[in-house]
Amino acid sequence: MKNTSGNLSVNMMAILGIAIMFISPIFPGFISVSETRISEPIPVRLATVSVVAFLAIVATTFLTLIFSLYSRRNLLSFLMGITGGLLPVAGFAVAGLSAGRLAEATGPFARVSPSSGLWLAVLAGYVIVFAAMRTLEDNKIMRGLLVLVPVVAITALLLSGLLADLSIMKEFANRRERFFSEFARHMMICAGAVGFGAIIGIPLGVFSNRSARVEKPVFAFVNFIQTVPGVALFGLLVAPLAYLSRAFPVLRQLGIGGIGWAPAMIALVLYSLLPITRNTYASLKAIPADTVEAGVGMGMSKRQVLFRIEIPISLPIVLAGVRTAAIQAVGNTAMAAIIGAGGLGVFIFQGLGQAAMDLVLLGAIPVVLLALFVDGLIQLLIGIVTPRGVLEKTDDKT
Amino acid sequence: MIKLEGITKRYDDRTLAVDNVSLEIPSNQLTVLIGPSGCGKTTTLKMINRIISPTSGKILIDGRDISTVDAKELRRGIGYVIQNIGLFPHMTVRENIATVPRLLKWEKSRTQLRLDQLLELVGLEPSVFSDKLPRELSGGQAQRVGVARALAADPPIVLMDEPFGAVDPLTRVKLQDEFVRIQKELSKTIVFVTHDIDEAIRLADRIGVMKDGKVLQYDSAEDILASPKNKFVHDFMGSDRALKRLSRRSVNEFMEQSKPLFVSKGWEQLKEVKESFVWAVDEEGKLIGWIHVSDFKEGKHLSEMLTELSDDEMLSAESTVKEALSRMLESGTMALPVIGKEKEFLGQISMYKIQEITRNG
Ligand SMILES: Nc1ncnc2c1ncn2[C@@H]1O[C@H](COP(=O)(O)OP(=O)(O)OP(=O)(O)O)[C@@H](O)[C@H]1O
Ligand SMILES: [Mg+2]
Repeated sequence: MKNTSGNLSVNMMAILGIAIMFISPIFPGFISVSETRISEPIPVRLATVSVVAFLAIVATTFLTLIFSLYSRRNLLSFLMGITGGLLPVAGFAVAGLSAGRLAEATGPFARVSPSSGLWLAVLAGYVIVFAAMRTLEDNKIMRGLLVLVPVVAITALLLSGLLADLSIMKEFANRRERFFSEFARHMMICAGAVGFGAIIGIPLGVFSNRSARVEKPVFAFVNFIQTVPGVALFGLLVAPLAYLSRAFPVLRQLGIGGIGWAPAMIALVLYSLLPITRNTYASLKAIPADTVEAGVGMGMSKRQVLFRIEIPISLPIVLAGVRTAAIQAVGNTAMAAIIGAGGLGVFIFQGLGQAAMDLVLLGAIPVVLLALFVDGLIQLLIGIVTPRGVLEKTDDKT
Repeated sequence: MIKLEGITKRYDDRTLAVDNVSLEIPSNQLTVLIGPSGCGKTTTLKMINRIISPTSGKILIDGRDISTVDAKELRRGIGYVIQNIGLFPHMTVRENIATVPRLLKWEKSRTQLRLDQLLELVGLEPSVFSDKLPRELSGGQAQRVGVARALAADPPIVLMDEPFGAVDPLTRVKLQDEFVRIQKELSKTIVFVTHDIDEAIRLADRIGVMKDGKVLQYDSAEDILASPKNKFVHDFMGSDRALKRLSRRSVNEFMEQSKPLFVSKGWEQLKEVKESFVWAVDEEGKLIGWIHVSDFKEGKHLSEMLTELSDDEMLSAESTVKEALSRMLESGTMALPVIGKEKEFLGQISMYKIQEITRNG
């Protein structure tokens, strides 16, 4: 794909994303309006909504195209990813700003929703960001920012009230309190799962590295856990925990039972173990014995060996495992709503039950944003703590 | 001086790696420990900086028992090049070399100055290599950085475990030559481990030959080559032992005086020549060829009898006797002229003389 003559190069994946991005504003429906919550939605073109916005989006897409032609240079590739990632955010802003006007013109119960064109822009943005990340393989800081910038922008937009007239935000407004409490719960379950996963998984990795007798059963166990589907693991834990909580009332008082947060937390901790244990193990294997001996031989103390050699080499790899575990936990926590653990999954399952798409999105969109946010943030962190010399080794070995 | 007194090392699994070794390693000299793989060279070396502690016996440095010194302090005063180099992969060349100065809390400016000095010393251009990472270096460059790192805080003692092990033979000879130059300049007390006999002979002042944890012979390089104590040492030195000895002697030492002929002057000079031939120089004393005395005929000009010499047929005073011999065999002559930097004639070395050396030692 890389063109050795001159700076121009064709990044096929970016071109694909940009092509989709060009289609999105001319698509028959950028947003849609329906007279009531259940009536047939009528598609509206972007140019109909606002000519200025249409021109601005097309022009920015052109700019992205130009950046993409120079995507062998890190900075321009980064800029391509940033404009590509912000374009759908701009699309939402336009939709939100015009929603009030459109709804008024349609009727008192009118609902305005994003439509195929806008969703295409989201897809395109995703592809472009992904293409940019691929060319920035060894710059974790830029990679992290590529994800964080659009995620923070869209979150700010959602919280700003500019989108208040969009249908999904009406759903949000109706459930504001509940939304924030479930969101907080979701975060807590994830943080708990990854936190405990790290507290258990890192030592497991360390001991596995020290002795082959520990390594075999540990990896047999964590690998096995990973093969059990999420819902099944939740289910499997219900019976024994229900039994325990009946047998020991203390547990019941603590809120530990067959359903609720306890089985969810246990399952999620178990899921976090594999990536964290495996990466800790791999990170320690990545420290050459010679390197440690050289340090000792030149008169480093145990502490100096730990802080100047072992941790700098292994930390980025351990963090890569934490990243995988965290992204996974954000998604799996949504599933945990099935056994009454709460969290954003509550809206998804409620919405599915009532066939209310907006409600499903109220749960699903924040889950996606949260997963992306966690991903970007940890990548950024890895980029900051990684010494240049071990960069190429930090990629997760899934 | 480093003194090993009855040092024995038995590992936890009962392997007897070093067996009652006593050595006196003189200061400011390069001592080579050599022997086949697994004979205990690395183990011996690592006991000197206390990475391994001996099962019995003691080691004294300048009369002080090292087990009474703080291990970290001891190590910071001993340069160490480990087998396989062991550069820190996450640090730049600069950071790698600055390890010990940093541990000793040197001032930034002093470290900086020293870094540039060291890189120059090992033949790496500071502006090019300072910020490179170990993985961006070739094997030979990494070895140089390893040596620079060991020399960083200017330690009086340097331990080197096969420092030039992992490079191709050509690069290795180049590194060895540079190292000889560095050692001439610095005169460190160096303990150098290798299993390459040619390397040992090229570098060593003294050689200790090890086998199965024991030191079989410990002598100056010349003495070991001239009179190996037993069959193992004899065989280890190789069947070209005589040639190896010649490789340690320079032409300089065995050059014979000989009066050259000035081609521009008259033929009367020939009367004084007792040999069958004579070296010929121009008016500035620069060597140009030789003249067969029997070719002489009255009235003939000397330049008409001159046989010119190619550069391959002249030796510099620094060449080794082994090289001289090789050149003689190549050109099929019994003697070759020795010249200085400006091609000025200095003397000659003959096959006869070389035989005398090899016979008498
Ligand atoms: N940590 C250890 N535990 C047990 N035995 C060891 C250990 N280290 C070395 N040995 C054994 O001690 C003996 C001497 O090893 P040493 O590393 O000193 O050899 P060496 O002469 O440096 O060999 P090489 O040229 O291959 O580097 C060998 O038989 C080796 O197997
Ligand atoms: Mg060794």
